[in-house]
Amino acid sequence: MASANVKQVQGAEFANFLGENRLVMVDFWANWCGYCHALSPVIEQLAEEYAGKLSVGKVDTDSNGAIAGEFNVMGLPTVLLFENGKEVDRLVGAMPKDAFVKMIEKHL
Amino acid sequence: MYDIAVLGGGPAGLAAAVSARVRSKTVAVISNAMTENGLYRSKLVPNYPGVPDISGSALLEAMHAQAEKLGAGFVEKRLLSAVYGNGQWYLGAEDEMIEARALILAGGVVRSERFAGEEKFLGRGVSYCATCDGMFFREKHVVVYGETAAAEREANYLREIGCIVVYLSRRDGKGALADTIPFLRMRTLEVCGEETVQRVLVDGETIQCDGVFLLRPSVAPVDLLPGLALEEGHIAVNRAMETNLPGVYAAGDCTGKPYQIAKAVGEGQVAALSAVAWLDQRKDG
Repeated sequence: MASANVKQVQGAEFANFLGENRLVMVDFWANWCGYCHALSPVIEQLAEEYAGKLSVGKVDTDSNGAIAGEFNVMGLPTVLLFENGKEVDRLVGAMPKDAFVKMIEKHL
Repeated sequence: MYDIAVLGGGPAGLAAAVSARVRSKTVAVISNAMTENGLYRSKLVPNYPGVPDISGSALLEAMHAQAEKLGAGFVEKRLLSAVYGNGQWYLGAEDEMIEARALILAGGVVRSERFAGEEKFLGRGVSYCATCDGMFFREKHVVVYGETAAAEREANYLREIGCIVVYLSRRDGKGALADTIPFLRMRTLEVCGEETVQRVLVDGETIQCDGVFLLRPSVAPVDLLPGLALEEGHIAVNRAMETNLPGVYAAGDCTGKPYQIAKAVGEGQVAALSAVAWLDQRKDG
């Protein structure tokens, strides 16, 4: 579930990944989550459209429960937006692309 | 991918499914269990033409069997989200994702309701689906609010995976609920906490918990589809049963009175034929 513009982030890489760009968006997902699969193409489109301005990663919550816990992710999918390493926004559940565009544009 | 997803398994939805199948479209009917339908509990239906002494359950079972025989698919789950993208609908039914080109809303009269704190803590302790998010709450205290046998089963599932569960309902009786789960009748609910859920207020009484599962039988159409136009509290439709959203139709009680089976069946058929025409036109274009 990763593409050229979306990085699968694991465990200890997470902290460094947040420093990759001023704006970083992270999609928390799991393989058994139907919504997450539906959301995946939207996340990939966003990563392509905002390439350079926004780094996009995915965290598999099954193998990275500690990261999910650290950011109070208690439902899937949850997408967090970080600015300079700090969470500034989040969207929970299956959302239309517009909702993500709105969230990203607010912080560009 | 289905041609048409019908949301609701009452007379309007089943009539729509029958008509769509007769026109060779693929159909998924997403609904609660038939036994949860109000009509199912009706002892006698006195005014549906042709079957003078039939009970609600017998009529519903016959309609259901007819749609099934014609090849309609049935998904007995709660529809939680509807997202449009890439020219199709992605419908989240608990842990399942159903894809369809057109929608027929036939879920009956559902009031839009939000508990205090619900929106604020969504994804931070508030969840609408036990099978989706239950794993985040193992070994933790959760309260489950529900009104149906399906909700009782979801509460049992949470108990089985190791959550410490209290069940809240406006309905009487424990039903299918496991004996190990305390049952509380409630009128009002408020979700409280700081970063995440820490407690709920049930009729003013505090219960400490980390998670709140709100398992309403149905989500109001206007909450599923922001932008859906209403008229005096019902979904606004024209004579073709079109809503204001392209490719979205509505039929039955959700479009307004009279709340009668014959009216629902007629609207279901019109909605299906309109959806079929819309799909065929799109294919040509």
